[in-house]
Amino acid sequence: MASNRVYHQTLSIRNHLAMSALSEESRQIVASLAHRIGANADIAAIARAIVSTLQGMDAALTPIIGHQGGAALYRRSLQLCTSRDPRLAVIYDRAQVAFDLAALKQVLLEQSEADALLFGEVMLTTFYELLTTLIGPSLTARLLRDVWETPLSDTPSQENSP
Amino acid sequence: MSTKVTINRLATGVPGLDEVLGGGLPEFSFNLIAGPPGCGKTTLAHQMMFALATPDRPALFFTVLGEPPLKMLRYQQQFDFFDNEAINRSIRYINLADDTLAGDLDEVLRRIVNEVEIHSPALVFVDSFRSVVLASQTRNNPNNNLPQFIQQLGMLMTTWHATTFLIGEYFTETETNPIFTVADGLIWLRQSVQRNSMVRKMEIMKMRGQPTLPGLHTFRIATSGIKVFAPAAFNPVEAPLEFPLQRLKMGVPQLDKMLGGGLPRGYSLLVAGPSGSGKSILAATFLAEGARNGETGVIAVFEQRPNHSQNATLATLIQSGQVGLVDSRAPDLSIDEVVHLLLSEIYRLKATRVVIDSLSGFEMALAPTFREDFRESLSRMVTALTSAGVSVLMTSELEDRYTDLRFSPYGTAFLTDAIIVQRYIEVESRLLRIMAVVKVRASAHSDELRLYRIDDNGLQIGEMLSDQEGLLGGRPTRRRLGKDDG
Repeated sequence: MASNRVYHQTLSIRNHLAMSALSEESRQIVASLAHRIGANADIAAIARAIVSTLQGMDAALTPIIGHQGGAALYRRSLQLCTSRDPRLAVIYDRAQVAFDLAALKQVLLEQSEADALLFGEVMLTTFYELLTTLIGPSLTARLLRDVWETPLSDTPSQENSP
Repeated sequence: MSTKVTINRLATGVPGLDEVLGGGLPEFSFNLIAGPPGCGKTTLAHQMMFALATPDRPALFFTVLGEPPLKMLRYQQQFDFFDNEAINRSIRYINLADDTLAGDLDEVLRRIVNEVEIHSPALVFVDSFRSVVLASQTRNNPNNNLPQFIQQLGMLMTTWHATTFLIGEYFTETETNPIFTVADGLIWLRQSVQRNSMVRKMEIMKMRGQPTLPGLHTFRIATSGIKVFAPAAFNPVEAPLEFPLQRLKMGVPQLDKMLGGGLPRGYSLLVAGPSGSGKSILAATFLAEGARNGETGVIAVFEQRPNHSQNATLATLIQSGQVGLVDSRAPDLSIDEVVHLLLSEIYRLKATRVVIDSLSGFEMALAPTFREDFRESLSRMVTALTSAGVSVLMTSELEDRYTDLRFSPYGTAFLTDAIIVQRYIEVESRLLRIMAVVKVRASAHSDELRLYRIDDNGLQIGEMLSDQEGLLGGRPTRRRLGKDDG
């Protein structure tokens, strides 16, 4: 069931990211996001999963490259997303001006589930690829390993919540 | 048993640096790496860090204002020593830009101490320290007492058993900077630029309790990282000559006779002569004779287009590995680098015979900044090689002047133990070659000027021209015998 969902989402991002071959890392990012969202994929779960992933990346990178370095990567990723996926340009623009991740979450909550999910997939993949062009695939994987490595066998936290 | 403290010396992992430091880096020392932008400070720090850090003895690399960490990671990755797997395991990067921007040194110190207490690092790097200094000047803050900051940092890091490096730039040596007093070690990197040549040099201005090697030491940065060319260590107590002298055959039997039975082992021999006189052929014969007797050799060629392939004998010897080739096309060579290259080949092959062909090419290959000291450098090289126990043959281009008897254009003749001179002379409208042994230290040798020719088998030494005189003038005349005068 979970793998079906992943497969479906992989297809969705593949359609939208025709310009770049879907790498193993992208697959992992998409799978990890799906895992964070959990079984109940409503807009709240999707927004929460995207923001928590971004927080995880921020926590991994900020100590090393500083707040400003992290912020610059974030903004550049959004800008690349716009040219990649013009349909969602409005969301990217709003995300650009969002003050922080809490504000981004608000923006996402106003979107349809499909759009928010697509935003998350494109945004996280783009961020990862951007970092790869700067410091290479192996160091990128090394730094962000803990963010993606959510074993699929784990029970999503949502299912434990009352 | 001694109750005195033992200071461990850490092997830095930078080739040549431990020698220059006088035996490695003192553990728990507080050091400054200084120098102008682009001189290799951050690279030096990284190379040491990757060599020394382990999961049990990790390193913390604090980035302050200066090179953005993302770029640093991007560029440092190009070096072979950079190991991605070490990041976040034995090496941790910590960005202090925000704290430094605030300009409060107390806060910067608190952050550093906090991280050090969490991770208990064996190594701490702060890059670049200059921005800390600048930050301290930005605000009129009563907490910004730089000397106190450095004093405390030095004290805390040592107490926490961390060997520390502050990386800084633009320090002038004359400036009285508090850091110079507090630091146990000052490693200064420089770039000497002359015309189109650039040479990197390193100086250990201070290293507490260590017999560092004084002066400027050249280094190079390649993909393998930094390599320092420490001057060759040589034994100040030279072994006395042993009699009878052991001698090496030159491969030209007549020449061996002229030398008094061959070239004494461990001697340096200068072969001086004009272009085309057969110096390189003699050098190749010298190596071939060694190979015939089971000895190995090393040849250093300093020509823009090495023509060793033109000499079939030599090419075969190099091919078969009996002769090692040092053919550095690297620009801006230093004498120490050449000695380093030669010695490593000598040790690799356990070589006994070394040829340098030629000194003129060697001088050209050196960076301009070293040419002024050519004589001194050459002397150091000859000493380094002969104290390694090898016999050295050096060729030297000699412009034929015919008015004076000169052996080398550098006044280097005194440096060598033996000298062979080759000249052209004109006899009956022919250009003939003559050769003489001018000097063999502590040995009898021939005083004859002998004709010789070059054929497919090398140098063939002939007779003296005893009926001619004025050979060294280049235009000898037939000697008038007394009885004909009457």
